[in-house]
Amino acid sequence: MSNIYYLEQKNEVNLFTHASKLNLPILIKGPTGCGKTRFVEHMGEKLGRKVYTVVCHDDLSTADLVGRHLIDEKGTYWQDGPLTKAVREGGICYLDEIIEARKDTTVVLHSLADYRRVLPIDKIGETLEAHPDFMLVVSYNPGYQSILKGMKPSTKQRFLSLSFDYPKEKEECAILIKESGVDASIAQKLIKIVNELRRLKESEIHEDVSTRLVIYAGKLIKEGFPILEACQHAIVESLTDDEETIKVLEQLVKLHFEETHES
Amino acid sequence: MASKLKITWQKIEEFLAPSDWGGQRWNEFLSRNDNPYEAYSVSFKEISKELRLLYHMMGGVQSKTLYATDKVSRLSLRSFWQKATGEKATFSLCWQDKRGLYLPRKIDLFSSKRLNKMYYVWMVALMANANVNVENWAEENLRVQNYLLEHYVGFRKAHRLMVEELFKEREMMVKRFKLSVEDELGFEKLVTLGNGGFSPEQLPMPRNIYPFALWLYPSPTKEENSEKFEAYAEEENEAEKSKKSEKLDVRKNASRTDDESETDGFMAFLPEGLMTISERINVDRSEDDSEDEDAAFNAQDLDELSLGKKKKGLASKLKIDLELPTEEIDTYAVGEGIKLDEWDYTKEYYLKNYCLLTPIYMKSAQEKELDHQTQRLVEKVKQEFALYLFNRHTEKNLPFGETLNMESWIAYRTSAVKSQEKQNFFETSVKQERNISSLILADISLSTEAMVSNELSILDIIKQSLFVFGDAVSSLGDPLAIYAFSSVKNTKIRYHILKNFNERYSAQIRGRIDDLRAGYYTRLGTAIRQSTHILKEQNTQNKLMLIISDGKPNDIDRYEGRYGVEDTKKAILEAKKLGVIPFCITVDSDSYEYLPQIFGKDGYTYIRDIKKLPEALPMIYMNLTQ
Repeated sequence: MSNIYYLEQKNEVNLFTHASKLNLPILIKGPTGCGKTRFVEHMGEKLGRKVYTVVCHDDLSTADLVGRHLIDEKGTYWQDGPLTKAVREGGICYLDEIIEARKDTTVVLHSLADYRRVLPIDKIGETLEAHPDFMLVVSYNPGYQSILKGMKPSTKQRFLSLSFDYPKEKEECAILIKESGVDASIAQKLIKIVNELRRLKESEIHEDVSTRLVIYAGKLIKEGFPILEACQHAIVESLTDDEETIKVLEQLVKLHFEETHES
Repeated sequence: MASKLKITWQKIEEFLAPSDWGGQRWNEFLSRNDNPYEAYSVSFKEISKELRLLYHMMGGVQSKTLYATDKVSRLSLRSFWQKATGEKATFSLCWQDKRGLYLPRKIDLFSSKRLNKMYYVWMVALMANANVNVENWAEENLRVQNYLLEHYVGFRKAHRLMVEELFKEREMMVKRFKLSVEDELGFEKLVTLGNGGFSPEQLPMPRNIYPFALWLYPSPTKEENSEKFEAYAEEENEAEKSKKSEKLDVRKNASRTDDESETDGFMAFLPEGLMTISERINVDRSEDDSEDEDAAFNAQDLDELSLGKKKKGLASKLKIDLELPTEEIDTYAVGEGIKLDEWDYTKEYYLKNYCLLTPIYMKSAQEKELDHQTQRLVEKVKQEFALYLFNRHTEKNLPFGETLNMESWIAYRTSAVKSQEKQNFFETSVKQERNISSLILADISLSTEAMVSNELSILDIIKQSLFVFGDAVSSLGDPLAIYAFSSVKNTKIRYHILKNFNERYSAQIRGRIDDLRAGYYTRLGTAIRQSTHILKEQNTQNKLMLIISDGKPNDIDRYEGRYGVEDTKKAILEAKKLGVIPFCITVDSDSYEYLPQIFGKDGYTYIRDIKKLPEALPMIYMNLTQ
């Protein structure tokens, strides 16, 4: 039985399993904190493959993925990068937020992401054939693309695409209860609040409340932290810096949890 | 069950038969001015943003707008009232229709500021959850009330207190109206207990129920009239805008009174002692442009502004005359025009080839050089561009450069055949190549003729911004196109070609910009669609559409209010689908009401001081594209 809790939303487990058998790479799109990384870890465990996670940033170089020479007292030696390790030994190489990496860096993935499944490492003059258990998974959040960042179509079109979103109310509630241990009645209210807040996306707030944040709130409440304060710190404050909006969001939380009028 | 509970205004009318109490006493009562809760009043204005957000979060339709209303007199009961008082009276009611929510501009019903504020929150929560199309709105009110009290526990105590206070007032009114005390008690139970413990058969006859402030009421205009009703209100908004100094901050309830007969009218109640005598004056809309300050003053003070039916035609004709460009100039239409679709949200489909857009080219534009001041601004912006605009990235493996690159040195050290390795051990940071084309779309509808200072109109500032921006961006080498638009209905959308992507920015283009004249209206969706077609042909990886606007999408046909917003929103979605990134720059202080829906929170920016636009525009561009 797997130890990493993951509640399937649609058909993603099935798709991932098939893709792993067929040696096809996967691209996961979805907002922050909706369970992309958790899903990959869960699948790694389920398939019995090690997961090498690389969080991408704009200074990520090919060497950070493939490996580089290092120096110690005996001289220089070659150190495999996470991608090379996964290719050599088998495993899932997971590039999180791939859009943050520069395009010239991600080009190194091309020969791994199609039928060739090879990784040329010119620095050590080697061309590695991928291990049968090697799988490439990348993810990005389509929400915060800066206007000049985007995935090269030639990179994008080498992957099976999988769209993630926040779980449906019922599922999200189950996840919240399982992950935080909070009472079902409180969990239901939290999820209702979260879904109401998500309606403001696209107009007042930049990012949705993530499942991750609700779980934080649930954990605080479970530990005996006051409900309203938990919601304020875990949910409201992390959504916006606009004081006026914060007040409104707090008011909404209060309508759900508190007898507001004391007179 | 439904039939038992059904309340119609006719039934209330039936029951409110002429009574025997004297007009004088009634007048005293109506005129009393001693509302003890005045000090705790909460105004719509101070919490409207909050209400809007709460409404959306609780599930309300995003494109509906919140309006402050005056007290409403809406029942066709005036004959009764006139008998009783010689005047008609009004009552603060909340209602909604498919375009918006209508809330009283001020609430001082309750004994604390918190409760008065909660009243607004409660009404907005009701509206977010109530189904407008349910005919039996009494039952719908009960359903939503019970739902809210069950799920939003924060309402429970406040609702209880509000009901208590309202019923105190009602007791008095029940006596005055000679209502059945039994029915009133029944109603009280109904409201306080919900359906629980009360079987529908036992309900009091609803027609005996005095209007209840915590309920939603049906729209004062019937569905078929609502378009016209809205049109009136919008028109009035226009009038208000053109005369900012006389702007009424309240959406007057433009009820329609029949000029020919005085038998029809409206009435409503004030259950909780908020009464004043309301007068009716006729504001002559056809002479609306006269600077009659008294009329505006009176209009604000009145509870209801009555608009004569027959004057509508006049008013709109007048408007057309007004919205002509000030000066006809030598323009040249290119081709027969381009047919474009329009989105009709009421039917949820595209009106195919509904709009005719005419590209217009200014034949005889004189070359124009920049004046000294603008020239200086251009220089300043160019310098700023040079400093900040470019992302820099590190170029490695150079034979010389800013700093030593360890990696290439190690590579050299570890290479078996050193003689074949290049000794490129340096790195340096360089400008990143830009891959972006931009199209500017400027709104030149008549409203841009408004003066900002003694010499400058909004349009003048837009022109100056285009000069500065055109010069600065073309110095970067980014592909740039500039267009402007205005419209009269769907058949005459003027799309001015100021600079297309293939032209070089020159003094002639400045001349074309300089020749622009304000006129007509803003059919924004169509202009965006055409701009999208132009942009999508560009080969750059990024395509940016900058829209400069001074107000809502609107035209003189139905393209206004929600219709215009929904069509524009659709046009933006289409643009995004085709890889175009739209961004709106507005100088309209009310833009927060509609732009977030159209462009998203990050899709627009509001420039408070329009005179800053020439400087702000390049900075916005810089932020967007770096």
